[in-house]
Amino acid sequence: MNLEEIKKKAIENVSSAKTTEELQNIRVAVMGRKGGLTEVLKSLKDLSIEEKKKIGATANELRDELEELFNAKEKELKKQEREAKFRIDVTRPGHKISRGNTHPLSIIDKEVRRIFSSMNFSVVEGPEIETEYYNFDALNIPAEHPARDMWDTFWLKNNQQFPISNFQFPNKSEIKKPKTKNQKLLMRTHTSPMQIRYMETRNPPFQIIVPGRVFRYEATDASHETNFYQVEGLMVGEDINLANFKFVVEEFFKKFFSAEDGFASDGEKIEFRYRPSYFPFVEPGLEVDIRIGKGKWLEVMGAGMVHRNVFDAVRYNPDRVQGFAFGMGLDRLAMIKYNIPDIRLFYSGDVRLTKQF
Amino acid sequence: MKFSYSLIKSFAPWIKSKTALIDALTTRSFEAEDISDDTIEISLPPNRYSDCASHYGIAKEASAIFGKPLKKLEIIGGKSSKSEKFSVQVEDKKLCPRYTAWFFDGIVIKPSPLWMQKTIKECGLRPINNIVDTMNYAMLEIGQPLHAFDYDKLAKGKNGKPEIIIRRARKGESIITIDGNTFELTPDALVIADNSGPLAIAGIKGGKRAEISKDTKRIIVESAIFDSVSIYKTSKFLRIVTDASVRFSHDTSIHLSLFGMERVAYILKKEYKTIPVYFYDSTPKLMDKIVLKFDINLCNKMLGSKITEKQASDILVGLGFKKLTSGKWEVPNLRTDIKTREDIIEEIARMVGYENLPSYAPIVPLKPSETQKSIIIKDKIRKILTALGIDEVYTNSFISKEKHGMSNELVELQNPISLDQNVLRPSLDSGLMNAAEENKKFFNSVKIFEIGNIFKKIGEEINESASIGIVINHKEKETFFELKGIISRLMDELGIVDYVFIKDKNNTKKLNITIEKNELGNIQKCDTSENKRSMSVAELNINILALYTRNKKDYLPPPKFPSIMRDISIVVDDNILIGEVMDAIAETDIRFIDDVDLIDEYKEDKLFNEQNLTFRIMFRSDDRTLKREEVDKEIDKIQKVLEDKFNAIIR
Repeated sequence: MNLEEIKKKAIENVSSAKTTEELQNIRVAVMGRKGGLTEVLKSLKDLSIEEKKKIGATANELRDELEELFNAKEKELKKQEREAKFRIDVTRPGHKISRGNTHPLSIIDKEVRRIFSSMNFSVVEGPEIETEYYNFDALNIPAEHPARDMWDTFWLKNNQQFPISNFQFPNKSEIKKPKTKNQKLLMRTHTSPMQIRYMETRNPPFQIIVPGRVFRYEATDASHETNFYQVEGLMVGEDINLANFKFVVEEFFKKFFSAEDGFASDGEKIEFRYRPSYFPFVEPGLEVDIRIGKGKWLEVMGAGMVHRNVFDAVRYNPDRVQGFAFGMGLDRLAMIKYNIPDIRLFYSGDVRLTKQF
Repeated sequence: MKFSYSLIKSFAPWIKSKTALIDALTTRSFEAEDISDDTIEISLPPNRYSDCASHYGIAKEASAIFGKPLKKLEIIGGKSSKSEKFSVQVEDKKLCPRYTAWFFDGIVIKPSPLWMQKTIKECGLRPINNIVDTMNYAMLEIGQPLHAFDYDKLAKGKNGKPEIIIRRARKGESIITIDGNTFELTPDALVIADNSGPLAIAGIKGGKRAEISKDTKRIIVESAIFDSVSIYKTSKFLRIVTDASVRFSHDTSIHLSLFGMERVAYILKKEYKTIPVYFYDSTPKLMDKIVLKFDINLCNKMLGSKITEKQASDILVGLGFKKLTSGKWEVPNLRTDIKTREDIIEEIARMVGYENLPSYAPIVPLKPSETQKSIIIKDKIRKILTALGIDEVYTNSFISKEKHGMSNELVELQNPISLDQNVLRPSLDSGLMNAAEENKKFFNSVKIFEIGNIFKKIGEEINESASIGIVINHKEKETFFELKGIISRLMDELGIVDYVFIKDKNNTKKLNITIEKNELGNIQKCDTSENKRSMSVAELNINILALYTRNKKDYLPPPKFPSIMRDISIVVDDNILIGEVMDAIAETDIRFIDDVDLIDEYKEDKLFNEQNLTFRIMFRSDDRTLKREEVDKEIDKIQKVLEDKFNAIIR
């Protein structure tokens, strides 16, 4: 083969090379130790000086030229190969990323606390085991009175001792053990005992909410559980009145069910209805119903102005202070907000509930 | 309580419709609900039985709401007189503040007229005969329970005439009631008796002995008031609930008994032409009426309203209050619920309508609101654990004593709702492990936590504390060390540093966690029935966590000088504890050793009593770059310690 032919063939082969490996083979075939061009260069020694000069120069030029060609092609092919190697199919599904979720009642609880905190309410909690005194007597719910039947109660067996409430008092010595108070133990039937506990150690004005688990001795069904959650509210001052109560709860429900939280679709109005009702620890006593958009009326809260006997029990002067109290079911709020049909789902421990929130 | 719409309307003919009545009652008085054609269900609040457990009472409410007068109620009056036919002796005036008994003659027993039977049925009672039905009908109208005794069945007393005695039951005394049941009585129960024994359980149920039968000719009608607490207790104790016991349990007005008697006398005369012949009343002179002061300014102060004096007066007059001089008002006879100024304010508020009262923001001194620390910590724990991939669940506070196993620590319920919920949970683990079992039907890996209160009896006291429980359940993967890592991470995030893991003395698969000698909690590997599954559980006391949580963070600059990493591989006896080996390494030179970690461990099949361990040790100094020779020296020291202390072979 002469140089012309070598050059022609090399250019042809290089341009048709598909892989770096193929290209390398071509390079060896041309410029390797036994390659065509190398053979030509080797054969120079048999030629005359004239010819050596002439052909040698041309062959060297060709070698440089081909070197460049090979390098360029190699670069190109390498780039292609790299791209092929790192090609991704962006339409493949994303990985399933797991994280833990919060129970819906915890979410509702936090949301309720956030809204009331924004209205300057403090948040406290109290023990789930209570004494008859705090759960009933001090709240103007006398023993042996049908009013008590409004709260079906779990009692503790053979126990007259006072529970250590680590909640408020991590230090045991701070627990007051009043002697004359009715010490029969029970599972609190509402969060209202904290009204008494709080007022016993503070002076008005104040405003608090008390979230917590409460217990009722009743058969369970889709809307009843033996355990459930309540939030108590209490605001006391020199002239805290019923108009203030209406303002606070209306603001609360508007915020709680507002469009930002994804429940009421934009523009859906919340309406309020107040009905007279009876709870021994308030007077006047009332119930609050709400209606969202065109939905049904829903009972959501019991409330009223704190009864003078309750103020008497905590040694406030009922002629000097007044205030309102309210209680609502957290489970019920969660069921309304998230369309959960059965209260028992909350306590089933089923992760398939939690994972949705 | 069930009410007949037509009977209410008979007192208040101007009521436009049943719906109008139901709406009015619901928004101004108490909840009412349409049940069927003529029946309305009204949820009377416990304090309104005295005046409203009656059709006339409901009509009176309607009259106040609509501002229209009631039809005059026809009655037959009578003055208490000495009777030739019978005598009454009230032994216990406290339990029976008033006893009225009227004597009627010329009775002919037959079925009562159909209209009366219809009303009685609509209100949930059963028609019996004309006398019993009349008693019930008058009770439905007026609210006063009435009872008729067959005069001729009463035992004669010393003076030759029947003597009715209201007394506590004697020990061992029993009574057969009109439905044929026998009840053993105790001195806590009040009875109506004659000289040969109890005739009725006072205010609860009549007895068989003097009941009205087809031969009855002469009757004594009883209309009495009994102590509500006594009736409530006896009714609960004997488990008898009747229309009478329900009414008497609710603080009935002393005025009601004569009112009821006068009405039943009217019906007996109108329907059966019999008139009362003898009248007895134990308390003809009643105590003073209740008079309360009312100040419109205090009313407006409580309601935040601008109700006028005139508006308030009209409402009170409509409700039957009588205006006396200088802002004083006389409370209507039957309203035992009106005792304080606020009770009157409530009357005005509900009649004005809560929806018509204003709503505005309170004006109070601004003071930062606070959240109790325990709540903040629970929020924090939730945030940390969910970020670590653990889901929150809630479980029941009541568990089964039998499944949990006997323990002196358990707090028992006196009246559990079922046997599998008869004690308070002493820890969260059983609820969580049950939940894990349920959830593993749907997931290969279950990681759940619960925050809740737990209860233990410690000595003479009951201890309630907040707790955090975590359970991990995996298929074909070890769980213990993951859970241990989670606990360490949780502590880190809470800023708790001084805690230690201590091997449990009895359980080789359990670690106790303590902080300054306080028991904080534990981690434990559980036995599972399936050998491919692994489950571990941890529980920590939140009250103690709260004491050691630190919010304060101090910035530490990143190390200025590089660290040097060395691995050491050893073979030691299988009984040697890895934790102890690591502690020994770390303590060799606390100046330079920054971190020790286990990076590899294996056991050769044949040498099961040996373990091969590889540790990675990071050396670093705060003031210079460590030289290779220095680190070599450290490694020599460590190797020596390992050889001396653990008989380790360095590989």
